[in-house]
Amino acid sequence: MKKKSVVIKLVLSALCVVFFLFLALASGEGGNSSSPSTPTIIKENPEQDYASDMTEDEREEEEEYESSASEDNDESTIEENDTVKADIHSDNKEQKQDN
Amino acid sequence: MALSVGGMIYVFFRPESIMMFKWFPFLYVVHKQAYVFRTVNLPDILVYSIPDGLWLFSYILMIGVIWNFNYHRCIFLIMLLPVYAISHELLQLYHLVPGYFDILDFVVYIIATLVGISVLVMSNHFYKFKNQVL
Repeated sequence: MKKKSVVIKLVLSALCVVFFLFLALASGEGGNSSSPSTPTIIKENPEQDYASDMTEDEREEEEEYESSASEDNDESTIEENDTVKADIHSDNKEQKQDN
Repeated sequence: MALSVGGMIYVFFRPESIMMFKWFPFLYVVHKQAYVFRTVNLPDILVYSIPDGLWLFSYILMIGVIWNFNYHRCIFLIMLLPVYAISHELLQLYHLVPGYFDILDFVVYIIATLVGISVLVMSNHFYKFKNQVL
């Protein structure tokens, strides 16, 4: 009789263990078993993070590089415009001379 | 009781990505309906660590009840899940299992185990005392 009750208790305990393991599994994150208590940092703007990681010198260099690059672009566009204007002007002259 | 409270925290406050919402769609419906609860900013320990502690605590009590609070005879069974939970957390620390180690989880597991065993010991004494009196 005593043996029987021990067996019943063991079976109930085994069911209890299975039930609680099932609960642990059910409370886990789907597809990722990482602990949810550790917040995942999602970088919304990676460029901003990159900028924040830079030192001051690096940031100044970056700004100088960007400003010089924009100046170069401006100059090159002005030069291009000048050459186009000059070409049009010369074309007009040639047309007048032909006439 | 402890299990119910932990379960309710899971259903009402945890994000949708947990497995139980995939397995039991009606819980997902309840979770969606209870969006008002998620507007309340509860501390992380209450949402993420305490339910795990309650889970462990209720397991210890359940095993204790099955064995009539005779913790000497079922200490191996009692320690089964606490050892599993604590070792899993420690293995996360050394990146041996997937997931991230969280000190709060670790502390809550230990406290839940200690409180659970203490309640069992007190219940055992109470149970013996009651039997002697009767």
